[in-house]
Amino acid sequence: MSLFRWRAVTPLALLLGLMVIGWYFLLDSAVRRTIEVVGTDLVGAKVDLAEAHVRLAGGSVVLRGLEVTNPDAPMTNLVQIDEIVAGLKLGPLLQKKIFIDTIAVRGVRFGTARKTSGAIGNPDPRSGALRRLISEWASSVPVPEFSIAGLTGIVNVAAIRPENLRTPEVALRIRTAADSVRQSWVGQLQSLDPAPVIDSARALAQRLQGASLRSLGVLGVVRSVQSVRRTLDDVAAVRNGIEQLRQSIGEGIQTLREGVEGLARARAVDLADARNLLQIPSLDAPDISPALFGQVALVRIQPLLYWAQMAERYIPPGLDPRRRPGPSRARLAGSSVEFPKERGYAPLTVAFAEIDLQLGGEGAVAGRYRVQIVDFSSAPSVHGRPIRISASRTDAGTGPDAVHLMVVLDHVTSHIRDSVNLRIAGWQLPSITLPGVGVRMDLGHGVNELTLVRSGDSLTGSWLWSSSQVSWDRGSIGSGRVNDILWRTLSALRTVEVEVQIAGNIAGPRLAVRSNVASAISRSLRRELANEIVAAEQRVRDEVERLVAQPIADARASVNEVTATVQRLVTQHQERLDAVKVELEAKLRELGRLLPLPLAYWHVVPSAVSHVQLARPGDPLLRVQMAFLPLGQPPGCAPDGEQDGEYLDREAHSLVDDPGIEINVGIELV
Amino acid sequence: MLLLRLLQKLVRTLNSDGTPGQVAVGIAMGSVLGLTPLVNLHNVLIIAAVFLLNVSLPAAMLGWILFAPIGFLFDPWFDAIGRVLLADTPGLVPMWTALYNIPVVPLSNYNNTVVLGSLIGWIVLAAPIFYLARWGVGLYRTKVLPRLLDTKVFKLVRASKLYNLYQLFQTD
Repeated sequence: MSLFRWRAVTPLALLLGLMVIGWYFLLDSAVRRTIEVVGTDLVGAKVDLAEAHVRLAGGSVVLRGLEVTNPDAPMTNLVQIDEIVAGLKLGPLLQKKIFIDTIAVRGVRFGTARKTSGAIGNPDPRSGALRRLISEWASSVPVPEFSIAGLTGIVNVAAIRPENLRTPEVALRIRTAADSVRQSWVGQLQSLDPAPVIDSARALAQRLQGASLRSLGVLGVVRSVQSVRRTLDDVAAVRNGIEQLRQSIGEGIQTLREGVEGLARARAVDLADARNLLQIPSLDAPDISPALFGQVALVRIQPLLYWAQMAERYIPPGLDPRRRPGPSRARLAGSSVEFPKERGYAPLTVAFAEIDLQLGGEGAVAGRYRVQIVDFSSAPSVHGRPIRISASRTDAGTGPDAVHLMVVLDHVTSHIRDSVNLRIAGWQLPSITLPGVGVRMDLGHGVNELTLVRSGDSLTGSWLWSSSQVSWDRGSIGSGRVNDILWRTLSALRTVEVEVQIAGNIAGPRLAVRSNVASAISRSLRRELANEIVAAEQRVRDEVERLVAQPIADARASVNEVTATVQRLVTQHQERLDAVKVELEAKLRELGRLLPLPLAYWHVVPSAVSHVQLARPGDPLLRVQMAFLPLGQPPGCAPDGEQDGEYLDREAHSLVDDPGIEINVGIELV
Repeated sequence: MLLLRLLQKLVRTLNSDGTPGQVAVGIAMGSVLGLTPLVNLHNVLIIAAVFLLNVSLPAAMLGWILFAPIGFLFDPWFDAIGRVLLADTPGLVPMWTALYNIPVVPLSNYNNTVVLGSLIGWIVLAAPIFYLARWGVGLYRTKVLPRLLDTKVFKLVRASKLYNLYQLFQTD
């Protein structure tokens, strides 16, 4: 019987041929469908592609009519692209990698209307998660309010209620903690009461008063020495216990003192809250700027954070294996693990792309742009080069006069280094209604500069709007003295700068806003309303101080009292133990003198074995006749006493405990 | 009609066509189609091998049909095996990395936890499936079939019109 079924070769070859033909004809449709499915999954809204033409022989892919829905506005496209032409390398396809040598993108438009809604029925909960996280961060950033109501009315300090203040609560917590730890520490000190040990020691010392070799006998002296040593050990044990407790008390007292120091911060918060409650605005420019422009800054910064984190998510740094969900199928999808390697092919690489970008309409950024992308890769660590994106304006019919964008995404190593530099000159800056004031500021044509640097997880940057063509509209500003001052101040400003500084962690950076508008408001209000503001602020400060002074004093006194009491008790115990220790040690010396040294230290015996495990002496000196001394050196810690440390029959000649030489000086009568 | 013919071939395979070894190899090779996700490169190779090697085609179909539900049932275990091998064993990463960067190999989807886990599962089960199937076919032909042919029920079936209809579609 033959191993092979040769007659099956022809039908199998035919079947294979049919499969290849089918694949060739279905490839375009499969690519189009894959782009739509993967794109929809990524964006969280519909991605539509009208046509896809793949010509493997020529190594080209042409995509036409790409529409990416804005997930926040399903009837609008985030981006619409007329045509994408890409030149492919065929070799990497055998590794399931896409390497595009060149790509040309034509007819890019943003924010175009859709014919049908691009919302999807059950969006993947993961898609849009990043947007939600950033939105939550933005909601958590406190934006102060600027209100001038407190400057125009009578300040009623009765609205400041003790129960609304934080300081008394914090002070009470500190007092409670102080009382609690005092009870605990006093209890522990009582359990370590040294009185029994001290009494026992004193009684022993008393008993040994005037003792002699004759009254006690040799055995009695030896037993007395043992008793004194045991009592000294007891004294040392109690003292160690008290010392440990003293250290623990020290740490506890430090915590209480830190709590007391924290009261100053609580008082500052209470003062700020009270000012807000009575609507007395802070007239410091650093406080006014966030109130006027904080919300605008948050709105503008959110997309930056989104794209910075998207870049990390979809262009991950490093070469570690990466897991992603497996393909959707009737069976379990599992996870697919990618194993990138240096100098290999990344899953997607675009060596060079040139995009002709046309933003239509009469909008602020309308016009033609040329965008170049070099070394784009979904795994830069594999490709080995950072991604560089640059854009410049090619036609200035409408919109800004000049645009320069340079983006470098360096994800080659695990330490991400991204930078964005954008300068748009002659751009129609937005109009802003100043919150709390009501005046509308039209920034006109100006300069927009953005600098953003990411290094690892830290983010620093600034966003600057500057214009010297500012115009003002009264908007909803009311009448009255303060409003008049504000309007006069603002309407006189022709040049405005608003700068948002970003610093901190990329997951939740800190924002600082600076503007000459805030400085001008601060200066003019302080100049014109100095007395009223000072008086109102002083009244608020006095009222807060009146309500929090006593709780703070009580908390401070409570902590001081605990500290003094406990430290006094500890010191007393330690002094008494030290005194009795000195007494016992003196008694031990006296007893020692009553006996010959070997008897006094009868309990000291030589070690039976060496304490250092050596396989042999350090220097065996084989066949050397004249060097016996080194060979005789014991390998352990045998003391170098008489007979070169060799002890026989409990005859120890070396010195133990307080070794020294006793010299008796005297005159011997002849 | 195709199903009926397939059934006939299957019955004939079990009864007399091919040696028990050919039938058992067919079932073992067909089981990989059921145990692992079907649309994968290794299954194309297995199908080609089933056609080219002198093993029982109906038995391979039987193996596929029998083991497809088992594949679905065992998917969580296959996923766990694949995860351990691909993601949780750092010592294997250099090997997977080398394979991942060799042309054609990534097309096998070996880097999917279910694919790798089920393939390993099949490799482990292939020999037991083969020996069990060979023993089963032998037992069927020597013990079960003669008794079956001797039963009244079978004789009644053979005498019925339904069997005549079945005979109508016999290819030879």
